[in-house]
Amino acid sequence: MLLNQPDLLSAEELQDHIRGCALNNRESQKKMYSSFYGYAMSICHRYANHEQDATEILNDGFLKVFMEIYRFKPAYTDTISSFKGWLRKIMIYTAIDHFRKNNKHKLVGELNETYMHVPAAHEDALDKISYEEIIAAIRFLTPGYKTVFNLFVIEGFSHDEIARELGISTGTSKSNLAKARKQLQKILFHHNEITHKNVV
Amino acid sequence: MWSEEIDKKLREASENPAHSYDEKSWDKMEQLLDKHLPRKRKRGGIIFLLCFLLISGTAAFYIVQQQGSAKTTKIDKTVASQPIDLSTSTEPGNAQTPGITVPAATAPGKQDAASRHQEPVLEETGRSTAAKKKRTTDPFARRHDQPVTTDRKDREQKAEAQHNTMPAGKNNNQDILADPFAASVNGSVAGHLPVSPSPVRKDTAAAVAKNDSFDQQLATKENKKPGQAPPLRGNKVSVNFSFGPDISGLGMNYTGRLKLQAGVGLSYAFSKRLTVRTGFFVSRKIYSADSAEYHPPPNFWSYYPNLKKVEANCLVYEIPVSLVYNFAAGKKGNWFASGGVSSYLMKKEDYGFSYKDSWGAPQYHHLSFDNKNHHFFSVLNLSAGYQYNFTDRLSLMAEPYAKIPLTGVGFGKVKLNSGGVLFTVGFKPFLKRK
Repeated sequence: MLLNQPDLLSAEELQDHIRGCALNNRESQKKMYSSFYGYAMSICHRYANHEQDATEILNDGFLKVFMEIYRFKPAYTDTISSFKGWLRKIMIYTAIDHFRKNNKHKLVGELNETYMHVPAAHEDALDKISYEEIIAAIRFLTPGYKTVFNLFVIEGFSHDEIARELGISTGTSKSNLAKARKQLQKILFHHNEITHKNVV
Repeated sequence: MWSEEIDKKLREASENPAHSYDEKSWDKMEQLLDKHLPRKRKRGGIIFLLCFLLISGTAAFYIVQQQGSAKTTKIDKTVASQPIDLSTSTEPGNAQTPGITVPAATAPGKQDAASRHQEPVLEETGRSTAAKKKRTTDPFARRHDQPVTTDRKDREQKAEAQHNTMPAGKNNNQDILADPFAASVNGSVAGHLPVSPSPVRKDTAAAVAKNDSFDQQLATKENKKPGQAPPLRGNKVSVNFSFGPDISGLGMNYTGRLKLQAGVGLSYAFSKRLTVRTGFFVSRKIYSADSAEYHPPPNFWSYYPNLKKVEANCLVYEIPVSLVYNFAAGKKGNWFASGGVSSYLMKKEDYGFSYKDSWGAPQYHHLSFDNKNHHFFSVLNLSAGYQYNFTDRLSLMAEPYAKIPLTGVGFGKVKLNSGGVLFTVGFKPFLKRK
């Protein structure tokens, strides 16, 4: 359940507040911040280890938004979706910058060989896990795995794009993704106390 | 094995925002914005306040100074009107008639010299005591009854004539003695009173000289033509109420609508010719501009690249400070010319932008600002007119004016010219007759 969620903006209100933000109007900036707080924080939360880190990424991202908002032009008629996409991209790149600044050498984490392998027959067990648990599980990944996993699985980046953004090779990107998935499985099933284990 | 279904579920999960808005996060965000995108501070208000205090302090200083000089004049008159007490002599021989100088009896030769030396003193004493007697009875009697003469020689002659007409056996002391029994006494006094020598006191002569100078001052100050009105006090400060039509524009092609402006003000007259005025006026500036004359922040053009026209409707608070030169006064009034600067406080700005979007379609957008732009001493005021004085207190002024911008005003930093006619009712609340 979402608590303390401000009213969503209409397209016309969004355009007015975008103009206000372009003129450095504080009221418009606060309105934009509060309206897209939940959406932006859900992105930042997946990349951060702690709540404070997530807030820092969020605020840095919004600062970039307000500084560059005068350049924003809706790519299509749906202004809200267009703006959300533009906001999402800024938040992701801010998270990447944050990762590169704080977790430079953590792309290749230690691999726990005793991973759990879950056969296809038990995939439906994932249905019992809530969205919140899934997202929370991602946060338990090591920083390197988490970043590559988020960029590839959730944001839809290709390995080439990931390699370019993080300054790594494509192979390293793929390797970290595989490791991330395995670690995530372990976290999810261990967290939900799944007793059926098939070790290959 | 990991499957695409898991990825899909994860993507769906990420789309579901599960975070409620936190006001504390905004506080941190605001600190970042203040650091990297600070808002313009209204420092000009402090400068304007200092200037206003300076002008008010200067005006108050002059008012106090004028009141001080008026009090000094009053004290001078009070001192001049008080009788001079010559009873300071403690010389022996004067105990019988204190304060009276009696010519000393000396050797013939010396007597002549002494007499010659003393006689003028005695004459002066007699003159001064006569004047004193007159002053104590009626300080202003001379003004109305007798023509005042400041000629010392004339007064000496009069005193001498007065001295010579005195009956024999009597000396000038008779006038001095206000004793009702003096007549019976004087006869015996004149015959039997020993005349004791008494030196002339220098301080008495000085007091006489001083008294004479007071006489002159009093005569100068009170020597006015009969029927002349007493001077006015509090004549320098005036409270003004103004109103009149005003029109604004960026040139002949973009003249706006005629609107009424009104305000209140204060003026202080440093002299007959020079007056300083200030006040507070409210007016509405309605004008149009094209993109060439509009100079908003650079970000603006990203939204309105093909701006065609701007229509503005602004509520402006104006604070002028001007110096007025008064030409020679006529029977009932005078012409004047004025020059100064004004500060514009843009209370509310409403703009309508007509533009074409990136597809060439005409668009219209409205933007408003409240208390955003303040322009201190940014407009030059020039005016000239005529002041008609109904009474000493009440006057009416009519002055056509022109306001020329020194800098751009408003959101678009436009060079906004204004013109009109101002009618001002002036009232002097502190006016008093002395």
